[in-house]
Amino acid sequence: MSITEHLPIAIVLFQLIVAILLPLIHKGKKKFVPPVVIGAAIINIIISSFSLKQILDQGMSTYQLGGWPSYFGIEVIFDQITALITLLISFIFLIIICYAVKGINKEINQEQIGYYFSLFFLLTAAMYGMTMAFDIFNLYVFMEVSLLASVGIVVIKNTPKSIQGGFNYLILNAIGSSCILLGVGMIYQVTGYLNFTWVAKNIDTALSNYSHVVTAAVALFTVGFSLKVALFPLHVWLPDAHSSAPIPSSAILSGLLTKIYCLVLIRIVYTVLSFEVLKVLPLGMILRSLAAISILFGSFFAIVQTDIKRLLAYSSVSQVGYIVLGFSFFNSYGLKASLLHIINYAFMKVALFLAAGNIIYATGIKEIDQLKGIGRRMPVTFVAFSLGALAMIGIPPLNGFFSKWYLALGILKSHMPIYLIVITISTLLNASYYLPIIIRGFFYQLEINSDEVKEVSPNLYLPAILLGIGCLVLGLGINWPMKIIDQAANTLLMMGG
Amino acid sequence: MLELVSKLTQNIHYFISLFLFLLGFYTMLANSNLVKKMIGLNIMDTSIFLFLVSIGYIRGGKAPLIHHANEVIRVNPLPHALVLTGIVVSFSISVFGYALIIKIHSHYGTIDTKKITKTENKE
Repeated sequence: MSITEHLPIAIVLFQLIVAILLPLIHKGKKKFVPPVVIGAAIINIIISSFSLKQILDQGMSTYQLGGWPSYFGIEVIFDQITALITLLISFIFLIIICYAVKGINKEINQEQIGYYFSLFFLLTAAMYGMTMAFDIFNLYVFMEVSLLASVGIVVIKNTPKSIQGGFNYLILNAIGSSCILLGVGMIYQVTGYLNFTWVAKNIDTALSNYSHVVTAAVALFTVGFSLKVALFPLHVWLPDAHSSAPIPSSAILSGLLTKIYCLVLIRIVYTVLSFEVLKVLPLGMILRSLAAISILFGSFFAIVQTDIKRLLAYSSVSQVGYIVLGFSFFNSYGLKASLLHIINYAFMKVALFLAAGNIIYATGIKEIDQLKGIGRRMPVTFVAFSLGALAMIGIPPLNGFFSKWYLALGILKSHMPIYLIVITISTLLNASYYLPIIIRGFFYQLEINSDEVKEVSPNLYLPAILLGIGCLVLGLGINWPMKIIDQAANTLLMMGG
Repeated sequence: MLELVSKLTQNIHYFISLFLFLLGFYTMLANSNLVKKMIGLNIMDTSIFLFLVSIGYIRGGKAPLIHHANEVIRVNPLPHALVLTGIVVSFSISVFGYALIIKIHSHYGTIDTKKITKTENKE
């Protein structure tokens, strides 16, 4: 067994090692922390691009931990989706880390920076783990790791609001996890396996013998995951937690974490649940309607927000609807739209959060009404914000347009034109809350004292503008990610049968 | 009728775990006291552990040891391993939750959600 075979799980172990070392480094020498975290994030990119190359050359592979056969032991999978999302996580993580080493000083106590980055690395370890986990119990364990780490990076700000939001986040997601664990138990009870492929082989007989148990398990999974990805009626924890967190935490939680939960849900729906189960249970219909409600109400709530971070948080609720809507049509275009939107969304949302963070750092303004004329004082930040916002609306050369395009194709292919109306209305609503910010920023007269407002330092605006340009580049060169997503969607569709 | 009763008594652990799950869920929803909410969460988790343990149990099964492996029926050890992991997870969430409750108490002076919302609205 050569060393390259262990490469993909090495990335999870590497995060854990860095996470343990960081508080020690912080105790010893404070100024070593930024180079260490940036170096570690660059090593992540190297490892994940190698594993992407390996998978594109050799096709998908599985890895048995400790050499136990897959029906006993723990199996992890490296297919195109794992590789692509791993690279996405590494890339966005590097950019957020570069932003955080400078920006976090303004938000939390200096003594806690070592712990903050340690939690960041634990969170990425859990995210990498979730993308490659191939049995339902490990998925649950990684979800819990990600839950604890992500609540940690919310409450570390130590304001009453953030602790209150973090507590709600913890307790509601713990309910979601409990539901998922109960579902895991039920699936194990009727199929006798935890591994995805073995469950998928046995779930048809389980459905005919114990249809109630399978129904209950699927229902519990639906509720649990709706809580975790924040679909509309169960989204209540998200706006408080995301808007009260420090900016880098909001960016990683909103841009990556909830979308990784979506990916996990895609894996479960397409790999574990067989075609037969999806035919008997109305899972697709339930997910579609929840997603449609989420898309519309997320946007409605976003319009009435006055705080820019809360607006972005509600916009996450609406965007998560697109992802869930895409894959719940069970055809290849919808699935591709979902996978593409996970990637696009990470770029757009992180750009928006970082740009909003820059505005808050430079001026202290959170109210949207007071942003008049700031675009002229902080041109780079505001261009990054505008690129992200226009991509969110779906203006053609930017990447957001292509997710909506594939989503529309998926809708047309399954002959449910009502959802086309939903996404059209939602696009209008998106425009109605993002465009006023851009217009206020660039075309209104500056109201506050103009000497105080200056562009932030390059360490802070470069990550934001880089992601903004990333939106444009992804939109213009959509063929490259689409090629891998095509393969990935085919693998998923093949597995589900 | 008799058959139904015997079926119910044989599967009594599932009913108890379901009852505990709903009890825990109700406790979480109905109480405004944060500590009681955490206790409700713990009851919910415990009910799931009861469920997991009982799906691995085989009536008359012995402890799963390699000694005389093929001669007697053994209980399934895998769900028990899951429960161990689950206990660790549930424990960490409780500890974290209680730590946050202490923080909330030091900021707001109360752990009642209704009073917390009131003070927030005043600000």
